[in-house]
Amino acid sequence: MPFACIYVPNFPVAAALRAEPELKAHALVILEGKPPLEKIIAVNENAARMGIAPGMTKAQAELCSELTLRPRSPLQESVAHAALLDCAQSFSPCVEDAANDTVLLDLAGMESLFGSQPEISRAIYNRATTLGLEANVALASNPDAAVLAARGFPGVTVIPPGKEAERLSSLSTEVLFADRLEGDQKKAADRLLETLDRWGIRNLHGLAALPEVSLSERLGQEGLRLQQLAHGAASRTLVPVEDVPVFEEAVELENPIVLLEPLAFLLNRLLEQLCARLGSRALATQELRLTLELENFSPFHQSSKNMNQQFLRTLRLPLPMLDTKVFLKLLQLDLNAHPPGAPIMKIHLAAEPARPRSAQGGLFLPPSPEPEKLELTLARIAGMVGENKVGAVELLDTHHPEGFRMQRFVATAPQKSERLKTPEAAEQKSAVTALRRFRPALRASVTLDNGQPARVACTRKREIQGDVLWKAGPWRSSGDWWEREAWSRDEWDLALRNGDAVSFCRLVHDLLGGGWFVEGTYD
Amino acid sequence: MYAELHARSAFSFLEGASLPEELVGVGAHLGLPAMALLDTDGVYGAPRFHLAAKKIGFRAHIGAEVTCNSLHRVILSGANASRSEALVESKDPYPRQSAKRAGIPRFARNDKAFRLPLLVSSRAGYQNLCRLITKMKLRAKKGEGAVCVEELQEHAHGLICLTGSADGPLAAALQQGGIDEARRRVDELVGIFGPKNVYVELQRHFQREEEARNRAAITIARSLNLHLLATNGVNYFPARTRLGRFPPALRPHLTRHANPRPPPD
Repeated sequence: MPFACIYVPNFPVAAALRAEPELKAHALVILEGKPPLEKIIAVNENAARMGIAPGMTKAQAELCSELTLRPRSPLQESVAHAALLDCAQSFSPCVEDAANDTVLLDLAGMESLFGSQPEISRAIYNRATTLGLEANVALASNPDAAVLAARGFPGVTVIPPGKEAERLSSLSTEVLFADRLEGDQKKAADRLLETLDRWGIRNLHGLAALPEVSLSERLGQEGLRLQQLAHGAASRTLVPVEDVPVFEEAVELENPIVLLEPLAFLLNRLLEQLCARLGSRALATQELRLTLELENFSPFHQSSKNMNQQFLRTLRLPLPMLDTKVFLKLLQLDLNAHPPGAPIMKIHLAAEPARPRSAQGGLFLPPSPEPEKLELTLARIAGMVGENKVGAVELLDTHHPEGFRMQRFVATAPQKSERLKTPEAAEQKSAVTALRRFRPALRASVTLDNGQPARVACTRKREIQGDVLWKAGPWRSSGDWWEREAWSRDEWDLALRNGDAVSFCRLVHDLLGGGWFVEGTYD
Repeated sequence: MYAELHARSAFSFLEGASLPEELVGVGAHLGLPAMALLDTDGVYGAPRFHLAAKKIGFRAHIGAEVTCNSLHRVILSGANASRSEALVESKDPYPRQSAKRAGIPRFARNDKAFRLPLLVSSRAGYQNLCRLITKMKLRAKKGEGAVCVEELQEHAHGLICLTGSADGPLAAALQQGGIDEARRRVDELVGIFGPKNVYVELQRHFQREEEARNRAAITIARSLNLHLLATNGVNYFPARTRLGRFPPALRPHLTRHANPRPPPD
């Protein structure tokens, strides 16, 4: 029964590089602590070559001008850890969350899905790289051997069953302990390592060769446990993690962003990571929540970082989607219409997971617009005309002529068009008169003859004026007489002669206000 | 000279708002020569209407609007009836909403039921009307029930049939299948009651949809050589205007905002 371990070495650096990949070429150090006593807790290779080591103070690091300093970000580490879990869970349902930088997978039965053990391990490695993590992947027949191999060997390692002791023998005793121990655990680990070092035991081969009884007399049960690990013979079951998928990505900015273009660049990166994580679990999303932490310019709160405002935008999609470009475009259109109004210090993007849609198009049905393109088109139109002015009309249960509201437009599945049985039926179906409404209605001056319109003049539209050739009406309607906004109106359908032309329009008389309005023209 | 031949009293529950005596009083005050009371599925108001009219020497006519499901023959099988023909469904993409806006009551919107206004012209007609209503009510729960075409045919003697207003057979047929269907429906009524006992009803309340219906009614009347009859579809008299606007909203459990067209004065 094979187990795999995914280990991300130098996790704080890895988390920072996942958020800012362009820093990979730089000498990067991660700081932790309260100013001015910040200390370096992690460095990347470039910084290490320059002689920077963990434990140095910030002041010492600042002597080196080519260094890039970043504070430790629990948020970025949490997000990177979530990505690590996603990677593991895309290969196995049984995953143990061993540490922030280490996850274990039970690969029993996975060969039929993913191939041989080397293929699985390579696939895991590639998936982790896609998610922005430089990880070591190791396969072994027991979890602890896989952990030691992942900690000790870079890249991909596969230990054949029975060869654990042989493969692990060359590893340093330091791999027996996790990277970021703290407090009593760190002291105990340091003590044990110091003792082993004094005995001249510096690798697992030496530890495995020690006599058991003597080892237990000197180091107790802990020594025996470590020796069993060095043999690669420790056996235990995994403690699976409860799957509570949270799809969030975040980045904290050193310098606030003012323009939307660099924001779009960062959003694109966050969206790519989110979509990759969702895709690794065969999920899509129907809701994106963007939270921007804005720099607070208030002179009274300059010293308090906690007073930053939050700017929230929620993007609700009609259908589950997983397209980075579409999401980015929609967010850009939304932010163009609703700009944050202040420099941005932090970006947090969350996606609500949803099952991806499955649709089977019909061979003989007309194609409907792709939901992604439709959503983009609607967002563009909303940007031009306003958010509540595009969509589908929902009739309200009232007689008021403006009794409707706009609701979200969702393309329905195309249906077969009914065959019209007779030419007359087809003609009847196609004969439609449309009223082109003016919003707002155009004020008109009306000359009456026996209480009925005889001549109409509309100053804002010259073509709607003239003598009344033909009229129908009045059509009376009223409502809301029990409310303050009572209304009562007469409508007339008129044919107006204006020179040689004849126009057809709807004239409205507001019986309460007394005004005359041209509400629209007929085609 | 105008006589109101289609009025409803408060005994048309949740539709009319005036007492029969009040209707008689107003009719006499306006100088009408006669008035006909056609309450819904009953003749509850008829005695009071008749007595009040007799007191002041006003001519009162009696009738009722009976609920009818279909003028096609139905095959009865125990308690269930299955239609032998299906009526054409409306092609309107917003049938429910536009029907509400047109003031067509719920039971007439794309449902098959409608109200058949029947005026009594003789004692035999009154007996037949009562028998129709009794048969309908005996086989259904309170507030439900409809007469079937066989019963209409059996009890047509002495009754004059009007084509009704928004809840009448002509309006329902127009909604379901257009003018052709409406012509067929009126023709069926002529087949049941006879050409001299069917009047095509026109009401004018300054509503577009009603005017379209009136034009169709005129066309049908001319094509079938039937008389036209103008009525007002009275539900209440003007002093009760505000009260009278509520019952149509209460009946189909709508809010006041969703009140079908305010009933005529």
